[in-house]
Amino acid sequence: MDTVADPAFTPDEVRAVAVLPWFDWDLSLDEAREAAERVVAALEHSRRNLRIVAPAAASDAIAAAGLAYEWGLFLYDRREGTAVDSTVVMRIGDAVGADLLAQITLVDVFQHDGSEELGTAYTSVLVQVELLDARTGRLAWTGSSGIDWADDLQRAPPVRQPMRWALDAVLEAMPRLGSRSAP
Amino acid sequence: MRSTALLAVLLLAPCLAAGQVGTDTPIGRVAVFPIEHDRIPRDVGVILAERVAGYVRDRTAGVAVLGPVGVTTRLDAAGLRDAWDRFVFTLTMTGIPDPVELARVCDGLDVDALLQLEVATWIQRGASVGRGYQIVPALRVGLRAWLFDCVPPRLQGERWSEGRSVGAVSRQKGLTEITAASAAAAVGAAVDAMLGALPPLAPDSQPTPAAVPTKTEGVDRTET
Repeated sequence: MDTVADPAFTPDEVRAVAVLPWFDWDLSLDEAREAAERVVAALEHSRRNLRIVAPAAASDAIAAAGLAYEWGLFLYDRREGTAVDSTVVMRIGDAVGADLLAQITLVDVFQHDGSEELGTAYTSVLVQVELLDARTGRLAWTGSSGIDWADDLQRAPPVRQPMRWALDAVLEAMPRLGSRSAP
Repeated sequence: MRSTALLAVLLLAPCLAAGQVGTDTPIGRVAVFPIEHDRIPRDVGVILAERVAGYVRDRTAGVAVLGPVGVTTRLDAAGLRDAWDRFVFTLTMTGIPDPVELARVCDGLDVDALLQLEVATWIQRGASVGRGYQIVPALRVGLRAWLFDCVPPRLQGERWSEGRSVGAVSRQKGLTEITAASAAAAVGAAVDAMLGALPPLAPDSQPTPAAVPTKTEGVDRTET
């Protein structure tokens, strides 16, 4: 379990956070949606006066603002390690009405089918959750967790189960957001 | 909303009792996109997608089906290849189906529903030779079918299937490997399994003959 936080990040000052939709080839749409809902649920238990923009609403707002393709380019460029346009983060923050964006990524997946001779089948995942500051366009906090799971001799287990466990570990480490005082 | 009706039938029929499927609902014009993957030849992707188009065409009277060759031709003729690529890129990077790009493609193809099949997962087991045993390589692929409505433009849902194949043995090299042919066989098996997962779309439709499992095997994995 690894976490990195921007020293300037002040979780108490966050008023609204948007949980963004996400996609991974190894997961069905429902599985990805369910993971995003886990983030929403974790945030709902965070503090009382924190407004949460759900993934579906965020998706609609980003599409309506014509920012979906630019957001895709931002995620692609960042994955490739090339220069990114951080103003996209700020513009999406404006579009969804949030000062923090939560993004899930399945950074790495490996599945190995086994046999008696080759050994046990296993699935490895590395899950990352990032909180992007929409006021500055910078990364405020990131947490990642990896799990190797083997429970079958021949067939690599589905990605969804270790992904859930790894995600839950990240969410437990995520800073509590929003003001300490009641609304 | 003809496309919505069609896709609702595609998605919901397994959940409904016989007779509840809206097979008498007028349905529209559907475009079936070619299957594209860097590990299978382009022609094979077209042939496999045509198998799906033929299935929908044969099983659903009154539905106009634009097959993968027609889709490619029209996309290029209308200058919409970039729009489609942008749409798929955006969806697979962000999880957001961009309605503007989707509507552009729908209009250009003059259809009210899109069916896109993508090779989603690729799990390959390596070969191994030891004392008293030889393991041939095996390939397991997951195929994802996306169903898009055009009016309103949105992602209606998805279905999953799986196909498997084993590799070829190279006697000269003393090794075994997954060839392009065995990769195509695995994807083909997944396509067959996908067909089996699709429900009848018309009252007089006939079930598809089951694929004969030889070196390949298809398994349906329907998401709920």
